[in-house]
Amino acid sequence: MWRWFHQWGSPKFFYHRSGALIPVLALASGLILGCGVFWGLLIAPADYQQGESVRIMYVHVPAAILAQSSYAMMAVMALISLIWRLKIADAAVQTVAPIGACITLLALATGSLWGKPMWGTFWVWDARLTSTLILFFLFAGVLALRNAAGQSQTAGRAASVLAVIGLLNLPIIKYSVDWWFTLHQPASFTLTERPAMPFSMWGPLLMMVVGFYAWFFLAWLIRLRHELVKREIRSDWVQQTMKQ
Amino acid sequence: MLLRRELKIMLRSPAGAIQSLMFAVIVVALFPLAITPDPSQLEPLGVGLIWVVTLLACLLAADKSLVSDYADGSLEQMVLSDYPLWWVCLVKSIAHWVSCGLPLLLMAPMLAAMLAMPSERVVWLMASLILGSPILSLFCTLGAMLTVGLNQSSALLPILIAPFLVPTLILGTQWATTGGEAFYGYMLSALLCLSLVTLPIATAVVAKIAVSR
Repeated sequence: MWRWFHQWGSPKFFYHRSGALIPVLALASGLILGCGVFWGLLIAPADYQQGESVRIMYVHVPAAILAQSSYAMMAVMALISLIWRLKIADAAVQTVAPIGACITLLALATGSLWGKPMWGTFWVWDARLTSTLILFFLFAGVLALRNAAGQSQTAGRAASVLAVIGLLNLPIIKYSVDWWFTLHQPASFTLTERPAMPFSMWGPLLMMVVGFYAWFFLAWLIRLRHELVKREIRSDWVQQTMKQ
Repeated sequence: MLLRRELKIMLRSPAGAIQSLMFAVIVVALFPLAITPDPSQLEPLGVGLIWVVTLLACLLAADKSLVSDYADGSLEQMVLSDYPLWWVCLVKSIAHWVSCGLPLLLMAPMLAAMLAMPSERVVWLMASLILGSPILSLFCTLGAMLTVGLNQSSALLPILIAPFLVPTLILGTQWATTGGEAFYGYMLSALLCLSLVTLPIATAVVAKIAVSR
């Protein structure tokens, strides 16, 4: 059991074994996302209140869910790299940060595009919007620190500490923003109190969420493998692999 | 010992503390010029503006003492010394608070007067700053330790640390503007206790990384 885990910590083992996953993930994300887009954008019914613009949901909600969980994954990887000093965990932190930042930006962008027809404005200082914005800033901080500190191992550890502190702070930030919001804004429009969705809507939504996750892991894996090769360029296994 | 050293360094070159005070005064003076000199319109902005200016001044002064300590090697000596590392980091935070938070706190009534704030709100503003500014200092020390010794632009530290200061800012300003609603006061105190216990330890972890750079 432990041996099995330890093997995956070795860059060489990981690189050779994970290659088989790429076509699987590529096929899965392509198929699921394709079907989800088709089902969500063409077949699913328009909302009786929101009309056609409800279809932004099929991109926005998966992006928002993925944004939060990608930060959590990054912080868990950071914790692993701090405690066990696994090289591969550090590479994982570095490679997931830009993907997570982009996903968070996508969630914010689609949210504001959805806000324009629904609320009449691109941006509202709603609690959820604000905490997603702060999540984006947290990603930006990890990226900026990594950029400034270069490629060294100490740079990676500093960025990892920042990611872990960010994860511990996320609940505090979230609650404080919630309290601030409840005081500031009367509940003029909420996303939370939506009428229960019929299957014809949450079916494609669920499909898009799964598809987003598959795509996310695919992108992460490709970046991670690339990063591992770059870091270990002088080692024997990379030289041999590249010759083949 | 350590604390006395920090305070001595500060007293011998008070320019840093004076500069962050001047920064706060100048920035606050810009707002009436940019928005309106009308007291009835300035008054609702006051608490938030003074809190934001305090936060910015703290971030601006965050890495002053650490940069020179890092450059002349005394940071490394402190890490190697017998003192527990979290205590070194706590002393750094206290020094930052004395040189930046405390002068700003004392200056707050004057800044409030510039923004036409009624006097009973000034009391709550001071109270919120008393509880809030140490949290700012603790986070600023963490940020300074993260960025010390890097080839960096001056904007890096605020980018890293400002998101973490959001809860403090929210609780502090809400406490002051609601006129001391107990809930926000309790939460701000809880945040202060939590930061006081955890942040020096986190900063100590980062300090070890910083000197191994």
